[in-house]
Amino acid sequence: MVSTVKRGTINMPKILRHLSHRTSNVREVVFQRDAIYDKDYAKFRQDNASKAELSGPPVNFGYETSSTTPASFDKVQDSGTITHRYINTPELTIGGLNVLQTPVISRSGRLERTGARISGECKFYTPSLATIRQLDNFSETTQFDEFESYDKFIDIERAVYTPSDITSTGNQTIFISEGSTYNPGYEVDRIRFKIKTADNLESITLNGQEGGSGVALRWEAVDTCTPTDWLLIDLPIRDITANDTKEVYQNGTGLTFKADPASLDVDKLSGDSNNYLSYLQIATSSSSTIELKDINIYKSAEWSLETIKDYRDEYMQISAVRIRGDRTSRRRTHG
Amino acid sequence: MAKDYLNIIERALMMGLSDKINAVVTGDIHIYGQFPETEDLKFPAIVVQQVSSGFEEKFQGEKITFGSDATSSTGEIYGVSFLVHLVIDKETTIKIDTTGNGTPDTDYKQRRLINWLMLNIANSIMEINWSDYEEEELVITERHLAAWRDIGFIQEVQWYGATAEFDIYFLNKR
Repeated sequence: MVSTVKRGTINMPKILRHLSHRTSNVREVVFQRDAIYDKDYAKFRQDNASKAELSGPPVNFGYETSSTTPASFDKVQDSGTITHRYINTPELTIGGLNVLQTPVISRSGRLERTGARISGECKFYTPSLATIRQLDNFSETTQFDEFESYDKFIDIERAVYTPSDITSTGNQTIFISEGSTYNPGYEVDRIRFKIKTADNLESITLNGQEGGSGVALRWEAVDTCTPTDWLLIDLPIRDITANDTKEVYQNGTGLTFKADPASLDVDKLSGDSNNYLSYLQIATSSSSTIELKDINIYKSAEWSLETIKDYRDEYMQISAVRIRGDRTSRRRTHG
Repeated sequence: MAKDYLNIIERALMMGLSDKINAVVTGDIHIYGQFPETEDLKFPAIVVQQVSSGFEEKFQGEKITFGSDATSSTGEIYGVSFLVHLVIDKETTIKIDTTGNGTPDTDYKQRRLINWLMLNIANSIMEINWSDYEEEELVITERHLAAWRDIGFIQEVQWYGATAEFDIYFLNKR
């Protein structure tokens, strides 16, 4: 089918490609939208199906449950049948989005009631929505339609550990601290890499030493993940508790990864001989060729989208604020 | 462990209000917690917003008897305040029983509908039998719907609305 995307008078993808050779203000960000859960509704008195049905439409209490299980029920009303409907809507985490970020206020400290808040603001210039909707994953998932307020872009604020690319076979162990080098963990927030192998990706484990004892965060693939083409993995490594889940999108489908174990607390790893990040392990189901590139254990910046100016076929200008952030020095001191 | 009274009362209030007011009209009146997402909003909308809560009255020795249980427990009277917002748009129509024969017969719109809803929401709130809606046993000692205020029309969105303060006092068994 002939592409119906109009390129506009400004070829934004081409501009971004050219600019990226000259300035690091062109960023490859991860688009993130939080999961949307089912809402709490009552159809019966005492919210109990054995009691009388409430007159009127279902009562919407206005808060979400923790359920992501598809559900629906009908209620016959004066106005006809009202159907409460929920379809599974996990978080969206899609990488590979190139944007121009300028100008940026990276950090702006404010003393507030709850203490110091570090925030910032910036503008993103992105290709047109029609172009973005043609990109890998964006084009394939039905969950993405357009950017919305409160969506997030996750950027690499600072690349902390960038191991070399790897072409090898089977499981891989990548050392972060070797010999008498004891690299700290408190600086890092997330891990990102691209992987290609004919085997299933089974787990990604970041290991460390805390107080001289081994600790680990293992992201285990719950769904089968076979990255026969380059697959971008981007997962958090801070503030994770056991059994947390995250999604990695491949061809528009969310593949669930579960944290188990999650004893690694990166803030505790201050970078001495007893407290340090030691190595990264990437485990696959067999011993086929595995390629890893652009491995980056990084400090992230989370930008929350506020105002979206859509210049139709040309580009979008998005004002964003940094709502979370903390002082790295405090992370190290207080763990 | 104390019961989760604030949630039980808020949910019972929303269920009771919806059940009572919808029983006497033809057309759907929608009840929401604070605040409905725009995708969910339908008119007429009644929004129940909890705005404050706290201890109202303590007893000697902080002892109470709760419901049918004659044994003494620790507790006091606790109060919770709601704002009840009522919103309709210019086109909202509800069929009302004006003859008293139990059959809604006349279409009410705009200010006429707001006036009817204000009084009938007040009536519904006073008539709620908590035991029909409570998910755990409650002892509600008082309920007061104070004056409706901010009755008006917002030109920009063509909405009519009004707000009332509503207080409930209940036994908080700890």
